[in-house]
Amino acid sequence: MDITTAVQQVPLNNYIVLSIMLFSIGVMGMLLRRNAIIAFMSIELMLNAVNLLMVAFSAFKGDSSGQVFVFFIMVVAAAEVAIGLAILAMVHRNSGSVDINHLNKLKW
Amino acid sequence: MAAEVAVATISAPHDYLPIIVQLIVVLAFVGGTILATHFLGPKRKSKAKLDPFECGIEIHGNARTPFSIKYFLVAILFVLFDVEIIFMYPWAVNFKENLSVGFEAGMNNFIQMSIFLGVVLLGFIYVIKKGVLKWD
Amino acid sequence: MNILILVSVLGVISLFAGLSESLRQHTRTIIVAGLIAITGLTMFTWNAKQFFPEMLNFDKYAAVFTTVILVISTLIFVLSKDQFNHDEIHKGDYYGIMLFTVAGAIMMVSFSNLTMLFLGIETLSVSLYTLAGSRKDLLKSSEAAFKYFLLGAFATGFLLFGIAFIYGATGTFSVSGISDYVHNTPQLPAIFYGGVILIMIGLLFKVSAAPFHFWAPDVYEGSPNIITSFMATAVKVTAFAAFYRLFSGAFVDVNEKWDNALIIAIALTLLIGNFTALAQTGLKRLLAYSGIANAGYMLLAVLALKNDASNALLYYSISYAAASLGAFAVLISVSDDEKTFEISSLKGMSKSNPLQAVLFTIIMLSMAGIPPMAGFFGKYMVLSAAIKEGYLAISLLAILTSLVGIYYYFKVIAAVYSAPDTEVQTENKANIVVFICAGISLVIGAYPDLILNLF
Repeated sequence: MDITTAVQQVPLNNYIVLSIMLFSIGVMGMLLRRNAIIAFMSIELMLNAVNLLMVAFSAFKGDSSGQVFVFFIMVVAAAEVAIGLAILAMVHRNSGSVDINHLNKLKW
Repeated sequence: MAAEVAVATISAPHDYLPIIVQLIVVLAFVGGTILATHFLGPKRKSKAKLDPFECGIEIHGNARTPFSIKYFLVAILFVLFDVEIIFMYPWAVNFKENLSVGFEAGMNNFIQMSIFLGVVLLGFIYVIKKGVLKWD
Repeated sequence: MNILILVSVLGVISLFAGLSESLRQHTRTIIVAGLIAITGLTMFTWNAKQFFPEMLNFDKYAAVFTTVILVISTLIFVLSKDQFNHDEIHKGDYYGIMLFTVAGAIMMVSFSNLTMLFLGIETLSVSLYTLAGSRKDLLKSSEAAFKYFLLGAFATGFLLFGIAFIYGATGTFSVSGISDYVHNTPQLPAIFYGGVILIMIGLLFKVSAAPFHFWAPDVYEGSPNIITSFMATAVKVTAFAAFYRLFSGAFVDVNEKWDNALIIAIALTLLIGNFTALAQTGLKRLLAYSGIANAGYMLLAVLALKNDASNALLYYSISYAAASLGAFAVLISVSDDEKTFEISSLKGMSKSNPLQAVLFTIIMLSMAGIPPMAGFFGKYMVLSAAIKEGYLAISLLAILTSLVGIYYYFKVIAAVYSAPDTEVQTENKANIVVFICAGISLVIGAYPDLILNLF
């Protein structure tokens, strides 16, 4: 069985609901958790929800451009995490903590 | 064999019942074993017992001491260069097909990948020149 | 396409030039010369052969905005003399990353496929996260970079989710493909509208419009001055150009479905931006909030896109960028990155540096929108475009809040002309960038046709 028909065995609506759930978990994690590493993981979860949705749509539409877009998202996510972890290392060196609540030097 | 699988119909929910039964059995076994050993075994707590290595060399220092930033840099660089492979995958899949079209298409294929690899290589040369990979 | 390649190559050259000690001193000169040459090339060769028009379409809109971005970046490189002296070894890297930001910006104004929009936004943002944290010794700089990174990545998530929905509905990423689909489908599916709103949220984050503006003041305040001036001018203009290009290219036919959401965002942006700016005492934070308020006026042009408001957007962008860059150039000449610079510290500038005080006044008047300056005509054009489309209530709100704006800009001018606390020496010199920006504000105010005839 080729991969496209395997993906199509599950109805499209289930993919949409699953990725909306994953995306919402990512958003809530980002908004509620105070640990910077967990915030990073939440962002990754959001991006992976998008990847799942793109691949599902791509299989159902029979159009490969969605999968190419997923490649780009993966590469950009890796670059983003590399930069993000470097920034986090810098914050840790300057403030000695990775708790978001401690970052309150700048306030309006 | 492949033809048989291809005509397989969409599975109904009750087809998954054996999996659920197995899941319950597995979880019950794991939980049961942990509980059983908790009650059966004797409890002795001493400093030697709580050591990470009960026998062997003595530990010294904290496991969470800061270590060289070099490890971090190498790990991050590995992730970046590793992920670039993704773009070669669709290229490799279509490689044979493009080659069979003719010399022109094959040459185009080659030039495009050379440009991509050239850019990645520039990044690598920059990393080396910057001295990131020097360990001394 | 050629312009994009040239800017990227210039960035790589700058990275490698930074490696050798002797070349490092000349990097900035090389870049400024290169950027001037590339700007000239953009103006004269925009009609040249295109390589991947289904990905990047270098049409007139793209060429004009690319020119604007390149001119602003050139001025910022002129301004960046001595700005990276704290970190001599990495000077070439900072310049290189700034050029990669410009490359991302060029992708954002010339995309014709959502893939390129996404890549452009990410090239621009990821470079900016790094630049925001380029004062590695200051906690506030790291904090700004961290906040910018978290919220920027968050916004990217929304943008991508929206793109995925649009793709699910239309089956294509190409802007013209989406436009055709919208044109030919009588009953659009619900996920299409969901996608439009999610993309709008992502882009509103990037242009720092309320209610997604809260990162902007912190990031502006914490970043080094030269990077803040870059974010407030080139990046902001780019984000609006991309916003306008996407919505006028793909979603113009369903205009009545998303304009209410945009009107709410504009109203909040105008109110929050202008009224919070009233309470600011730091000059940089004041400029940050004025940037948010100006985002509201520029969004009016996006709102009125049904009747081609790209002229109004271009004129407003240039007038805003000139005024904002001039104000930041003054800020850079009087303060450093370490301390917060209070508005009251401007006192006595008319005595100590009369020429700069006059130029700064011109810039502030242009920002406030006083008639002979460019800022007034910019506001006039976006407002008349919005009124022509029948958005009366929001235009009225924009006029009222711009009156509030005049108050805080005059507070700055009053500080410049009030008596100094201590005796100061007179020197009569102004940065060349301040001079150019004040000149642009005056000239395009007097002859608006210079810009308007470009399209």
